[in-house]
Amino acid sequence: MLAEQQMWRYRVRKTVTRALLYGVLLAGAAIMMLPFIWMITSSIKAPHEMTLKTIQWLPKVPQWQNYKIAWEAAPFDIYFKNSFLIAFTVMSIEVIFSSLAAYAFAKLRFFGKNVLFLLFLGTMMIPGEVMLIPNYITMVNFGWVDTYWALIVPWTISVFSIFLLRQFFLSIPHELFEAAILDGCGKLKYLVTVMLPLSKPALVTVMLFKFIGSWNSFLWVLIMTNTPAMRTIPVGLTYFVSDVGSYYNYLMAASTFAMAPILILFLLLQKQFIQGIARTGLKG
Amino acid sequence: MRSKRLVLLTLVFCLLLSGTALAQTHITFWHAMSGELGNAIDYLTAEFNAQNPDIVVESIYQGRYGDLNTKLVASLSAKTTPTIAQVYENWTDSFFRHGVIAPLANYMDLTEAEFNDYIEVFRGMNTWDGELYTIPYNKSNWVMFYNADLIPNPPKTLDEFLQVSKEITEKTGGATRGFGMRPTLELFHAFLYINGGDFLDEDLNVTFNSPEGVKALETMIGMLDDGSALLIDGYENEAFGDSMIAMYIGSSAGMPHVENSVGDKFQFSTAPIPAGVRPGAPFMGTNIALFDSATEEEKYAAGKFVKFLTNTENTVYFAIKTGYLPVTYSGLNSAEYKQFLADNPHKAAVANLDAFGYGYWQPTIAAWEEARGVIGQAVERVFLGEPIDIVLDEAQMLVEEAIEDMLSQRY
Repeated sequence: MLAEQQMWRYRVRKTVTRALLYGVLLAGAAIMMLPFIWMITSSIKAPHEMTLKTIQWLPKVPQWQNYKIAWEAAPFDIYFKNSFLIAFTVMSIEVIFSSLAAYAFAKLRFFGKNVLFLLFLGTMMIPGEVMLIPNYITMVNFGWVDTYWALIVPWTISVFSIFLLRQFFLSIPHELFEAAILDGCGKLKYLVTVMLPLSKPALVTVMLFKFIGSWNSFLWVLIMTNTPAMRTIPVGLTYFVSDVGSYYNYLMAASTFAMAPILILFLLLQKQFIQGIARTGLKG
Repeated sequence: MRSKRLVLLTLVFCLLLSGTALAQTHITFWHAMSGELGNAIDYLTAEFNAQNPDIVVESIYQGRYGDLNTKLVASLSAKTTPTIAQVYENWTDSFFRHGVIAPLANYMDLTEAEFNDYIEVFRGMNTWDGELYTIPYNKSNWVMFYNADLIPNPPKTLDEFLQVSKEITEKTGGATRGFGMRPTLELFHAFLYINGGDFLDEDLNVTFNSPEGVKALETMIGMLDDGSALLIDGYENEAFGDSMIAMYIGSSAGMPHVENSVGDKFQFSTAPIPAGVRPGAPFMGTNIALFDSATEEEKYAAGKFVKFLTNTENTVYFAIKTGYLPVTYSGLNSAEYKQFLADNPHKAAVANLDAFGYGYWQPTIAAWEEARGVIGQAVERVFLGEPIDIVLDEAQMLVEEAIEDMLSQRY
């Protein structure tokens, strides 16, 4: 009898805590989702419905043609192709360089390691805008303006990624390294066969950050290119914004299709991404 | 023998043809026009290229004005400037002081009649050292947009304007305020000018810290205090389309956006900015500059292109497509443009011919880039409740410093 009562009490308590937990989570999710839902419903509104005194969630008549108009306002097919090409290339090359550099800073011993690492970190303190014009001149001298070279090569090294990976590598027990070396494993082989598989969450985080950063990059692309054939999606988004007013409905439609690939990528890699941030103690 | 000669002749002819094809002059035009505006430029560029097989013009969108300016500055230091570009007057002044632009009008083969056809106000804004250095291109003016359902007869004087603003607020119980404003440099300029003041005098002395300036700011603040005006966050056309305000003063270039926000919710129209002790119509927008790094051949090709862009037919085409103004008298007076205005009565004030008589513009000095930031901030501080005299004193000091810096620099 007593056992049954206890069991029952336990079940009630469990259900209540569950309900509370889900309630809070659902509320949180709703708050996070709201801007995106607003973006999507706004993308099918008529222009005069964008500015109403009272909140109107859904358009009276869905303006699906907004997507067509937005798509045709700029050469988005080319922009999408470029954005994908550049983001994937930059991400792939960068993760190789970063893991090599991070490995050296985390596990290898060499002269001036700490000073060098501090110097690396120091470059993170300089805002990118300051270096824009000198970098542009460099690109001109290389003859890289208006080519994929300028859009890819300078971005294949990222101090932030090296830093993030180094911190993660440091958390892997050093005994593992020593044991592997004693067993005759080479240093590079250790990185590839032991370190990297153990660091999947951190690698995914680095790759996602890079992909998103490259996908959203605007000023660099605009300055380094002169032809639509070389430009990317964010440049296309500026077509809807001007100094005297904006076409919000088209902008929302374009933002929706510009964001879709990143959203899909995030959903696919969600688990690793969150783990990566949680374990390294860093937030985006 | 004869056939051989024929072959030879054909060969020579082919060579000549390819020779002329090789001699094409390539020029680039950097602009900040996107959407419909960009399409209009692309269309005119394609027309020009088709008519001039010896010249290839490439029109390139370089982002918004701020981005375009960054890109021009970068290209100047890397020596990769375009042949021509859209520029604001204060950029022109900076380029002029650095000696990196050439007087465009000298390469356009203009007759005296053609020269004088450019509207006088615009010529004034584009003259450096007595020469027409840049050519007006997308020029707009500031007008008053008003809700014609609520205001059948727009106010003509400042007193009437204040009266009407108050009445609208009272009549609608505050649901619709008479006037909507943002704390901007441009709006301050509008009130300052109709009070008889201006930012600087001809010798670059600061004149906005004056009774006229104080009165302008007091009028603006007063309208907020007694509820006849609403402080707007964002673009005015949105609050206007939503009937939160019945009038606002803004750029004629915003016309398509106003049409969008208003839809068929009510009738709206435009009127000149109400006159205070004097009338005043502020003119804005950009011009086309020619960079000195181009070869003589490229400069003449660019001149030909700009002449084409601003000829009567094309300036009218651009004006109708975009809401900017024709830049020539012949454009303003063309049958096509007049018909366009007759068909769109709500745009009449935009091309109000009288306004050209009392047009004014912001200072065209290089230091203005900094000064306009200072004055804009001063207006914001006044709107936040800081005392007008102290704010204006400080702004005067900072603007004077910026001008002195500019004058003392050697280029």
